[in-house]
Amino acid sequence: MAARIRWRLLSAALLVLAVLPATLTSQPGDRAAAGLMSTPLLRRPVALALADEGKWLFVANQAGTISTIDTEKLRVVSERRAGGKLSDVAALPDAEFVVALDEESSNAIFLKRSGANLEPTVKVAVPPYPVSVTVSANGERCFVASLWPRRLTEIEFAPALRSGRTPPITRTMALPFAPGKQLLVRGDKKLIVADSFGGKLAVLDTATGKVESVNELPGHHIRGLAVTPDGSRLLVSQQVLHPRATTAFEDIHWGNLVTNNVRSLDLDLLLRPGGDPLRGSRSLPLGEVGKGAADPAGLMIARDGTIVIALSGVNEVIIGRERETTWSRRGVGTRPTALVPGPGSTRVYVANTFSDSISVVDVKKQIVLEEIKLGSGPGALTEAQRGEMLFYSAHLTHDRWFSCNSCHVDGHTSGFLNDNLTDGSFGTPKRILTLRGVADTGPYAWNGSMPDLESQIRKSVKTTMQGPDLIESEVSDLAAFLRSLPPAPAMGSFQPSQERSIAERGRKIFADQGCGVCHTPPTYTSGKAYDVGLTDEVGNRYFNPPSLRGVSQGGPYFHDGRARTLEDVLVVFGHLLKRQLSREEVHALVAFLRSI
Amino acid sequence: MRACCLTVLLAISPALTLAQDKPAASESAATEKTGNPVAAKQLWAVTDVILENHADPPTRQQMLLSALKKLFKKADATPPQDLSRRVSEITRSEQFAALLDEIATDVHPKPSQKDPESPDTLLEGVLECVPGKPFFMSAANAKVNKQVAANQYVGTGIQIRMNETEKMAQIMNPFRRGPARRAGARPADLIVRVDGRSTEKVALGTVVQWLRGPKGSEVTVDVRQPGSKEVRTLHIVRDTVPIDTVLGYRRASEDTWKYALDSDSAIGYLRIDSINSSTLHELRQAERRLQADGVRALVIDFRAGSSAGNLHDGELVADGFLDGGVMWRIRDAHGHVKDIQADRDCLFRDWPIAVLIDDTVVDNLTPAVAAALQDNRRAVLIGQPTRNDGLVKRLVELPDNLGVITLLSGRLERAVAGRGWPLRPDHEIALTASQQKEVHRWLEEKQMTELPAGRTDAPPVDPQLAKAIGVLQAALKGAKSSARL
Repeated sequence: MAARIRWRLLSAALLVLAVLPATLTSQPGDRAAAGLMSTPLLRRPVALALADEGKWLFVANQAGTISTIDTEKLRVVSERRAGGKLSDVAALPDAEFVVALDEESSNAIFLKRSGANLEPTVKVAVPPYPVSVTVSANGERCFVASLWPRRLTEIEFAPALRSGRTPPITRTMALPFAPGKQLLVRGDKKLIVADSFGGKLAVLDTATGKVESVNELPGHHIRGLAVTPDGSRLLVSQQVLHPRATTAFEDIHWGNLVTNNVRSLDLDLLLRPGGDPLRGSRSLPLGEVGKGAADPAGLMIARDGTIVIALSGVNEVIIGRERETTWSRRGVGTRPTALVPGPGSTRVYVANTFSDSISVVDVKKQIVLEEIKLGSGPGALTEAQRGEMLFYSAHLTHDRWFSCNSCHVDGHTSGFLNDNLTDGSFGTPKRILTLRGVADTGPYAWNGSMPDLESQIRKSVKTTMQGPDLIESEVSDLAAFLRSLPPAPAMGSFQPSQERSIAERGRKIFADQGCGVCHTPPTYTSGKAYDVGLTDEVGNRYFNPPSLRGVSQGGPYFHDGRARTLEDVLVVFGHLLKRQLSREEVHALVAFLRSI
Repeated sequence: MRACCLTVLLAISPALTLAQDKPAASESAATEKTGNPVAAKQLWAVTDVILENHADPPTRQQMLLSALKKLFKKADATPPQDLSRRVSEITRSEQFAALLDEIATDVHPKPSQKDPESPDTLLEGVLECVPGKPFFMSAANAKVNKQVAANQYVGTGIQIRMNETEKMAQIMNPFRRGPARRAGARPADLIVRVDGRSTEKVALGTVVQWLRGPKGSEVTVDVRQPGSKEVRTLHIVRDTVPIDTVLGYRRASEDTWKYALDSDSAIGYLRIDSINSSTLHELRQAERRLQADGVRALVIDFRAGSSAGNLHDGELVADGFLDGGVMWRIRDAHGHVKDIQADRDCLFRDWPIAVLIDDTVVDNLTPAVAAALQDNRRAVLIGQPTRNDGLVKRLVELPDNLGVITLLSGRLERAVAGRGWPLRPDHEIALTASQQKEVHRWLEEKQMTELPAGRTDAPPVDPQLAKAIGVLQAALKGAKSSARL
């Protein structure tokens, strides 16, 4: 029943989107822009930037458009297409240009600004899957993080843009993890880059491009970074999946399994190579019993130290100060992700990704002033789109402590272990598998006990999330969303061509060694459970082979994460190899695994 | 027939820990019949469970013989000379059933002798010969125990006892935030009627039964203070009753604590009354308040705690205090040893901690946590050696809803080789008998929503706490001077 009510609420929210009056979007601007503003479109805002001392708010939409909001009148005044699938936006310090990232074309797009209007000028091709951009305070350069290629690209744009040339890429830097959020600190001398899935934080020297340190925080799913006004501490919004807790009702109820945190780190210690950034750190839990705070995302700190965090899984923002014990929570739109402080930090603008709206929050009064709709929606959503909304919603979990997305971050994996009943018992924590490419890789669960995705979804929501009974349409919506997720792109696909010839040699070794018996192409899995010489804590020996598509983006490996790398799988554990492989053969086989 | 996933480190007391004084009973101490006498087939299944789950079980025949001997003993009858031989020849449950039928006519247990919370005579006999003295709980009490362990107890939220002068049940303590307290219950209230039924001369267990009910249901309770004729009617809606396991130093209000010590505001004090599913959460909440108060060092007081809880919850709590490291090891029935590892997420990070223990700590749960802190040099232990044995017991469900028993499933080993049980403090400080009495009363009264008339929450003379304060002050001073260097 609860599930039905919830779905009715969701439907009602969608109806509101569908019947928005066109007048909201028919503000001054060119005719084409006005046309776009009134076009039914699922916009999905994901990033925000301000210009002209906060007069204009630019909203990057996954639909590929940028909406401009007049922050005095609190309404959309223009919208224009900038790319195919935007992931981030930033205003350059002189506010003459705005840079947006387009995941579809793998470009950083520079748009010249005139008041509310934006005009694309130049595009810079960057490594695929650009997900975040940060601009130096001096307005000289920006850094673009590319997710799956694990690359950071430095673009020196200032002189080029002034003379109308395409800005050059001055440096690309490899990272040991898939990057997400980034933040320039200490007068832009250091760049902090956060892991998109796990809990790593890299520190780069912006003068040399060198990765100076990589620290692993307890936790994962880092979605917000900010430095305190005195510059002494870095705040990180994240989640912690506690390794000793189980998915039993009481562990979820009391917040023992997942906590949603802001971690406050001593910035000096983090920046010092070899330093332990956890020394002197504090962790502020955001949720309460009965009222979890799933999936903290965008984070800002006002000049007076007030912290605002978007709680993307529960459709709220939370407002408070580090030393205060009681923080306020206010409802905003569906799935608030990004937020940006207005001038003087008196207001904060929040992008509600799933309700195609921007919430305006008064930080001091702690009230929501307005929810600005970005335009009319498409009317009806597809099954997969509805499933996506459920996937990111903590309403599927007891007391809203977490969502599907919390562990299967953006459909991938945090890489951690979790002790749940999917394998039939507690005391046997198993590695969280990626859901990317999950469509045709059944049966499911480590022991292969779930014949289809729908059964696995029902069981996970019931026993892992202690959530409500799903109605059939919710199950099929979630399944449709999961089936729409492509496999994680192979790391090898971003490598130079010589790597590919090595991978070809590896393909032969894969065949000769009989790996394909269990990991059968093209899905690189098969329908049975096999005894591969590994045993879990209660003696289970039969496991369904996980698909190897995108395996280079996963890890650690095996059911309990005992192998840190693919090399370890082959060398340390000799995983069902017919004979010991030479170093060159291991190299080739790993290159092949990195190519699929 | 399946074993619970709970691992317990103690024999759970029949009063299930909510009751603090012998004559007292909480609602959870309600008694229920254990059902019909155990049939031969059921007893056979019980022996299956023991053989399957016990680390060092007796043979089946030993268990069956012990059961039959108990039957004769209860009936004041002498067992036949060949009983032992006949039992030793039994290999199938049908054979046992036949033997039981044959001798049953000689040994009728007297119904009046049956304690409702005790196992059936045959079952009692089986349990008597099982090493580790399994503790028996009726199915009803096992359910309540599970609720208590999860801090999800459903009821009116009161501890009651029999007032012998007035011959009626009396509320000792209405728990903070509990439904009874919300409805206006006060300590010492005499329960005059429950849903219109007079409680005068009614057994305590019966009153408890009347008070029990499902979540959301209402019970009307008429109460009056002793010596008063004014009867108040309380409409109590049964609900989940959260019982605080982490308490502070002095009372700030009925529901809030002052955590910093009177003598040194940089040192905070937390009383961990028991460890259950909510304890880690409560510690997280306390950490934020302590940080807001500017506290930088911590006393954890485990003395005179309630002895109940699951090892799983102890793992979570120890892990919460530690920044990595092995907490302890579990040696199972087959001799396999498993390291129980802490992760790097850590409460009260960098704070010096002193833990108070004493010889009233008899279970294995708080010593396990304290030992993990000692072995990882996370805390200094002060007080007296504990009296725990390091035996790990497991809650196992018996077939046909017969109840639940605890079975020995392994041994708890220290993270540092060469250390064992009972746990020894780093600084052994004894209290005089009168000091200990006062300290324990002060600790136990922290759970009281209101203090009894004439009592205050002023801390008593406590050389163990004084030593902890000295140790922490020295640690804070050391940290300060090293920071200067």
